[in-house]
Amino acid sequence: MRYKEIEHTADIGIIVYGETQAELFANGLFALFDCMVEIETLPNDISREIALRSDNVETLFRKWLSEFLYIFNTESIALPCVRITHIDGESVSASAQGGRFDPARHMLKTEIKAVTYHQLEVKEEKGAWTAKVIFDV
Amino acid sequence: MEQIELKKIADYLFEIPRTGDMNVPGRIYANEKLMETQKSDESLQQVVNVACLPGILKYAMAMPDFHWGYGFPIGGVAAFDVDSGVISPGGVGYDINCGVRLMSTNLTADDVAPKLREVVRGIYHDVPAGVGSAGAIEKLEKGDFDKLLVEGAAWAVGRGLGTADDLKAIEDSGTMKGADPGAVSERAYNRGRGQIGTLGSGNHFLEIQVVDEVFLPAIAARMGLRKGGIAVAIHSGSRGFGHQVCEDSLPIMLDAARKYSIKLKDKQLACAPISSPEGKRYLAAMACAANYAWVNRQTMRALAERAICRAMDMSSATLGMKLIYDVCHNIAKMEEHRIDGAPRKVCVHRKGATRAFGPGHPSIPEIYRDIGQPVLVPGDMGRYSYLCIGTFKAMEETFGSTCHGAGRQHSRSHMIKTTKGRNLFKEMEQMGVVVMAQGMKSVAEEMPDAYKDVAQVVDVMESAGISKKIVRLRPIGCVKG
Repeated sequence: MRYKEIEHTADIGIIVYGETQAELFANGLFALFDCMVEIETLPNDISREIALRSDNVETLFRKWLSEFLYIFNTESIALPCVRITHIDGESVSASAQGGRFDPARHMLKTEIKAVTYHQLEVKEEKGAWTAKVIFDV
Repeated sequence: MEQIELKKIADYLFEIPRTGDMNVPGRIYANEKLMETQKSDESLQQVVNVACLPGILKYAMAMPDFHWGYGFPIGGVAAFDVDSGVISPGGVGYDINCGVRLMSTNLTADDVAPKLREVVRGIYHDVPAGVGSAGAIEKLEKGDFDKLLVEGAAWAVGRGLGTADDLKAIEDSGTMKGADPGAVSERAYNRGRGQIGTLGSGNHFLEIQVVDEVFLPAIAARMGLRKGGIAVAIHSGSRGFGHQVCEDSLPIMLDAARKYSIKLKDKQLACAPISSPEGKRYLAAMACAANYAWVNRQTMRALAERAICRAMDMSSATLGMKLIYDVCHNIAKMEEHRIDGAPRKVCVHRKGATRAFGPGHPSIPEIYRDIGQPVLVPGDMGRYSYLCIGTFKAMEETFGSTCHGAGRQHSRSHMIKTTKGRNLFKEMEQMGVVVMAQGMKSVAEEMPDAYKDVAQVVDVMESAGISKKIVRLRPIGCVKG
C-alpha cells in the first residue's frame, strides 16, 4: 500500500508508506496528486527537475509536497511520478514526470490548498518508513 | 488526552476554569448536545492551549460551531493586549479573510423557478472555480497586483466590478489598512495572480437562496429581504494567495516564539508579539490577503450579477442586486473594546468566527448603525443559512463576535464512503437544490449530513443574546468549485 487516508473532520489526513526514504517521498507525491486528480487520465509529457533542502526529514517531506502543490497551483501541471536521484535526511533531488491538468478534460477530485505542519510526522521503524501529514482543503 | 474540567455557567455557556499555565479561563458557547459531540476531539484542549498565550484578555473563547483546527480551534475567538499580547497566524487560519457576502435582489422564488437551471448554469460557466482555470481577471503584473493588495474591494469597483455603494456594506469598507505588498513573497504573488475572482472548492459556494422565514420583519425589510425573496450568497476567501501568506509566516513565527521566549503548548500556535517586527510583518501581509479576498468576492458578485441578468433576460436595474453585507470569518483585527470599564486597544483573532458589533458602533455602516452589524452564518447546501445581527451583549462578552457556520460532523472520507454509488446531484434536486460543481468529490464531501444543523449553532448565540436572527434563507441553487 502506498498510502491510506485517515479520519479527519475538516481536511484530508494521510499515512504514507515506503520501504526506503526515497519510496516514502515518491509515495507521498503520488498520494498528494491521487487526492486531487484522476492520475491515469492525465498526459505524461512534462518533466521537471526538483532539488530541495530543509532542516530535518519532516520539514523536508512537507516542503517536498508543498513544492509540487505550488507547481500545480501556478502552472496547472501535475507531476505524480518521480525518480529520486538523491535523498538524505535534509535534502532531496528528483526528476518528476506528469502533465498539464485541463479542467475541461480532466476531473478534479478535491482542491488541496496547503500541506500543513499539523501532526506532521516522518519516522523509520523496523526498516520501514511512514509519514503522517494533513492537507488543508 | 487529559480530562478538562468544564463548569456549566448557563444552558448555552460552559467555562474551563483557569488552571496550570492558563492566563485566563476558557469559555465555550454551546448547548449540552453540541458540547457532547465536541468532548471527544481535541478542540477543548485547544481552547486551553490558547488561554496560555501571553497577553490574552478575559477568556479564550469558542463559539458553538467549534471544532478541531490547527493550533486554535475553528470557532475560536481570542483578544490580546496590543502591547503585551501576540499575533498568531493559527488564530486567523490558512484562508485569510475567508468570508461571506449576501446580496438581495428584486426577484422572487416564483420569478426564478422556470429559469433556475439556466441561472445556475450561467453562474457555473461565468465564475471560474480556480483549479486549472484562469482567473476572472487577467494575470496582473506586479505593480498592478500590488495596487490590488493595498486597495482591496475599491480596486475591483474601479474596474467596473460592482458599485461604490457596495463598499459601504463591507467590513472595513473592503479595504484593510496597513497592507504592505513588500511583506508578501513571490510565491504568494505567483499563486494569487492567476486566481483573482475564483470561487475555490471545499466548502466554498455561490448560492441562490430564498428567504423562507423572517424573524425580525422591520430589520429584514430595511435590508431588502422579504419572505419568498431571492438572495445570492458567496462564501470564499483569499485562495492560494492567502494560503501562501499563512504558510510563509509559520516558520518565521516559530523562530519568533523561540526568540521572544514564548512558551507554546502546540507548535501551530506559533506567534510573535504584536509590536515586534515579525508581528507587524505578518499583519501587513495578512491585510494584503484580506484585501485580495475582498477583490475576489467583489469580482464574483459582479460575475454572478451578469450571469443572472443574462439567464433571466433582464437588466441589472430590473434585477436590483444590492450588497447587504460582507463579513470576514478568518481574520485578526485591531479594535477598541471596553475591559473593566475602560477602553482598550486589542487585537482580536477570529478563526471561524464572525464580527458581530452591536448598535451604535462607529465601524458599522451608517445604514445599519442604529440596529447593529449584519452577520452572515452559512449552513450546508441542503438546509438553510441565516442572516443575523450583532448586539450590545456581544460587545460585553465576546469582543463583538459570534459563530460563523455549521461546523462539520463527519469527515470527508466518511462522506466519500457513505455516498458511494449514489446520484448526489439527483438527491440534491429532490431536496430542491440545483447543484453544479467542478470537483466531484467536493459534492460528496459537502452533502448536507456532513454538517451539524446550523440552526442549533445560531440558536445558542440567540439564547446567549450575542446575535439575533433576522431571516432564514434556503438554498435553491448552488455552484461549487
